[in-house]
Amino acid sequence: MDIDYQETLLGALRAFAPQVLDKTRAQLEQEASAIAISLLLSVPQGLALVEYIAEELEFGKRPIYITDKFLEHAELQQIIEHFYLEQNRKAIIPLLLFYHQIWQNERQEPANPRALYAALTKLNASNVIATRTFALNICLDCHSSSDMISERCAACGKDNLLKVYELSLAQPARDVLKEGRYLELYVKESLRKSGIELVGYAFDKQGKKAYTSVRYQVEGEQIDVDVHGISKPLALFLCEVKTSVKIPMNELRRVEGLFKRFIEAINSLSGNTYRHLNLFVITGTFDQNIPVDAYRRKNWELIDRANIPGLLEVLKKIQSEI
Amino acid sequence: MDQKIAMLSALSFLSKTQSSIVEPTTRHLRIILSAFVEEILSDDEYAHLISLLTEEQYLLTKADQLTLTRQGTALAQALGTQILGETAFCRLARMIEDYNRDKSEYIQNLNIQLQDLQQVKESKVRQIDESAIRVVGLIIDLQHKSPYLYRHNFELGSELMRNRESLDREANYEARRLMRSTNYPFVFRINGNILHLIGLVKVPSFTLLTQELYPSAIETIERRYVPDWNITLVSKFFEDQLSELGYLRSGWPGRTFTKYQDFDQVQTNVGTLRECESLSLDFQDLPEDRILVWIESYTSPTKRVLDFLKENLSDLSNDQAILTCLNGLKLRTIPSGSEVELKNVLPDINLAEKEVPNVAQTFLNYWEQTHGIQLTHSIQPVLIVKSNDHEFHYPAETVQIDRYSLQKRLGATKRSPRTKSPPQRYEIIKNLFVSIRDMPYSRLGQYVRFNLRKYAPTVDQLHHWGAFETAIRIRCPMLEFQGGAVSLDPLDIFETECVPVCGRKRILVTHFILPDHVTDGECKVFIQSLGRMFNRYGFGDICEDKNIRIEKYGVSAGRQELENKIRNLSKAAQTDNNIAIAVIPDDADDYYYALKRLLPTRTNTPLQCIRQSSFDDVLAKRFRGFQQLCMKILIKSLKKGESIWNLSNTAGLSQETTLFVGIGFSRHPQEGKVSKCAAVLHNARGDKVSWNIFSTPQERTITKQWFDTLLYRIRDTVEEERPSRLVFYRTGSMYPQEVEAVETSLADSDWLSPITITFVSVLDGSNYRFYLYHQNENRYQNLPAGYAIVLNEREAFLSSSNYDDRELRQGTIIPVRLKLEIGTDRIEDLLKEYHDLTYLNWQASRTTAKHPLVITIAERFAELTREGVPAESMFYLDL
Repeated sequence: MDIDYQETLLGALRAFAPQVLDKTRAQLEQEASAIAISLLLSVPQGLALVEYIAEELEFGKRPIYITDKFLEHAELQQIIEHFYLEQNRKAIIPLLLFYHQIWQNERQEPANPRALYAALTKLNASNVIATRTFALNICLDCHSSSDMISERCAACGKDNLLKVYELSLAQPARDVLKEGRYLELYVKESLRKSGIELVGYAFDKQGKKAYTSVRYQVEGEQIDVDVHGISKPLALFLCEVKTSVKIPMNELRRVEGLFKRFIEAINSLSGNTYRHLNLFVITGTFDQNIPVDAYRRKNWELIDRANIPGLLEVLKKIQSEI
Repeated sequence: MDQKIAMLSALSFLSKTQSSIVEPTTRHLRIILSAFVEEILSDDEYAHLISLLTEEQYLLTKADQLTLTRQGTALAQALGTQILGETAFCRLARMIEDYNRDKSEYIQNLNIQLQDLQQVKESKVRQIDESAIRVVGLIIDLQHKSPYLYRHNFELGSELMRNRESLDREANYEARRLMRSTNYPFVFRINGNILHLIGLVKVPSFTLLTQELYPSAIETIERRYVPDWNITLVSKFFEDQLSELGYLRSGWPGRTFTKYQDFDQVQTNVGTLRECESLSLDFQDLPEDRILVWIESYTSPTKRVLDFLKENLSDLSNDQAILTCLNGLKLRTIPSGSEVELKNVLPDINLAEKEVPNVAQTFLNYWEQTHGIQLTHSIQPVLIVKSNDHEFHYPAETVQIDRYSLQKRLGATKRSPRTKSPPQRYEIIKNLFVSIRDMPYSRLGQYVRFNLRKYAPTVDQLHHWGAFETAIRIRCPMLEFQGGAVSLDPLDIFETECVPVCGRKRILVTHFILPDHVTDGECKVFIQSLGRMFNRYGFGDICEDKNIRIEKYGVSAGRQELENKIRNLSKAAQTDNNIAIAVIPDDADDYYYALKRLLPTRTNTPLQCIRQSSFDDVLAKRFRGFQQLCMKILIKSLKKGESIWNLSNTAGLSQETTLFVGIGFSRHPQEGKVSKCAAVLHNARGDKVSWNIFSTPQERTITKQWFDTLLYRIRDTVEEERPSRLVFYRTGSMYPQEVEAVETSLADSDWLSPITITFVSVLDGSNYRFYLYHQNENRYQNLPAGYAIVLNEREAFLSSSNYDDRELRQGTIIPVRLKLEIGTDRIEDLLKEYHDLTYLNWQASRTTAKHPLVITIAERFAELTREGVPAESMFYLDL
């Protein structure tokens, strides 16, 4: 019975002429490095790091710097001051760029450089990284620097070294940042991990499916759905994803109206009344005037910047309440 | 100053509002940087700085646009505070903030400042006409008849050497006794276990701690090898001559002379006081057997026991009643001023008949013939007192009550100050000079001749005679208000165009403590009047908090009731800018300190006390102290890092990054009530001030342990500010052991090694007065602010008086005497710096300040701690 019910729903959706919007972008969904960089959003300060790479490092075109250990602010400051006074430009530039990444990333809310460093470490360990080049060795005892790989300081012989590496991203990861699709992919992966069956359509001759950015033709109107899926017990999940700083009330109302008309059209066509849940995920914040609880009662879950790392948990909780 | 970091920091502040810097901001930035580093950057220097930063990849230049790179932003952020110092970095941020608020006006103000900077640098110090400055004193020349003196060598046994301090005291006392008995002056020196007694004549023996000592050798030495010998002679000369004029030497080894015979009786809050004319002398040894005698004339008020008894007892024939009445009071005898212990009283003694024990003279005759004092009452009680294990009989009229002891019993004495203007002092010196010169003096005639040479000598003459090195005039500093507005006059703070640097404040009155006869309506009228004036001066608003707590106390119920009420008060919410106002009875210091002790900590609110009479004046619309009151409240609302006005250039135009520490002491060191505090000024413009309170009761000297603690407390600030120089100011003269303690403590602090240390002691209670005399106009004038007279390469006098300019009648000012105790700075630089810092006198904008702000704060907090106000109460600037 349920299977029939679900099939009817999928049939109704297919009846609205679904179309994958951009095949090149759809191809990114298949790339492991693209998915991996999107999944950084699940860790604290992961979004801040991804945004930093996108905005400050020209979508990964410029190198990312990482050290092999986390230094407290005062210690790092001391080393920078040492190189500045010594006019050691070769050593100071990578350190300053690393400092900027970790201590001056204003996207952190609240600032937590240690968490940001952990996110960077996760990135470094993932398959997002195409190349990892050794940049600098700094002795934390005598502050001498060298660009030779070594386990001991050439000057003082001690092994208290700070190693600085230069990272570059794989092309698909850069593309996903450039296309601004990291949030869509993250939401898609979160839905999948939470057990929701994603709704997707083939976009090439091999039958590969795309699950993001699908356009439906509903009674002459074009309705774009960023990600959608079907949960068990059966309910249609419609997700709107936006990398905006602020979502005003009007924008929310527009999307709400769009989804409402879409659901009504599905119900009318199938002759059933499907339970539906709407998800609005943004990288910014919602207007303070939006009544979040009232929207929750209308089956809307609003996920803002602060709740992005916990999206999977939210999805599991919603499903358990259906 | 690191111009690269300054430029990057400025750009990083600017880039918060604009991603790239374009014209005219690029041009304006040169002016801002010039004002910040106090050095005009030329176009080519500025262009070079930009190209250097571009080359080093900290900056991107494209057409006319400047954009900070990530590494540039990081460098500014990482090293801005490190290299420039916390306060300077904040100052730069504030400059950019002011610039963004109104670009063209701000740049206009900065241009004025920069033009002034050029002029100030050229004319900060200039030489002045030394012949117009005169000192309150006279010059005396000595003509010795023999170049030799006798030196007696006495060997000291181990029992005498046991306590060096008491040995010194005893030797001093005995030398004085010897001088009185022989009428010849003596000085002594102790070298190892040998005491050298040096004088004009030989003596057979010397008594020390009841031991009769005989000289092991008597030899002749050249007079010029005995330091201070001329001073000893002149001291003896003046003691003899002044005694002829009725001035008796009171106290030893001080040089104070009081004319006890002539006195005025004045009625005060502590009853009748006898005011006698007094002189205090200080000598300065000059080359060629010449002495400069500094003369301080003043009125000395004394409370005689006889007057006290008559005021407090109806019957002076009851010895027990007298003893009870005097119980607990500290007594001193005249003329010596020695403290004595009261043993018994002989009531109603007829002094015309009764003889002084062991002296075949009646009391009346004895006092008249020995001291030249005619007792006013022939029948009066005689006090039997003990001093140095001997009993003495003193008529009650010849015993005075110690002033602090009296203050403890009856409260502080209120009497109008007896000031003397420069012409009045001139007259006194002239008369004294003529009287002494015309009096024959033959006592030491066979050894030395004294020639009074000149009264009120000029600095020019004294320069010539080797007393001073030079006299200079220091130009006053420019003051800076919000938005870069500048002025020379602190009073401009009350004009609306000069907004305080801290900006306008909104202050809420959360607590109002009043005597119970004041109505709530009067309280509201008071707050409204205060708010109106506060607003008129451009300080912001003062209004009533909606949850204001009005607490009333009964004046007659005593202080205890008020304290109980305060203990029941709840803490105010920790919001900015709250104030509590308390109305206290006039002359009620105990209420004042009770409130200061309890209210701020109980309520988390700064406290402003107002006397009842001032409160009534406000209600009657005749209060004249609104400027002062509003300023006090504004100062109390300052947060750390805020200021009322700053110096537009660094104090003394010093190029070094300097941090100033002021060490203050509570005045009137009464028993168990002495404390020291320290305040820190974070840069030489007055941008940020902080304070540390660590009082040390009963100890006025600086010990190594205390100084170690001070250094420990200021270490964080020093490390934040990264100064290249640290200047300590300390009031009072330094004892050699204090200098040693400070030096040892500094030497033990490795972390201070890259910093240049300067330690300056500041004396302001001495007897050195100067004035200006314009001969052509026959006009006398106080020494204006900025006049400095250099004594030598480590000492100088500095006047900070603007009394005459403000038409304030404060008598003749005493300049502060600065002494470089530790350090190698030029005395002229120290004077410039000190002088400029006195212009941060927020608390007294009408007058100039004698001390820099840090000392003012430290002294004020030392006073409060002395009165038991806890350190937690001093979370705000309570000036």
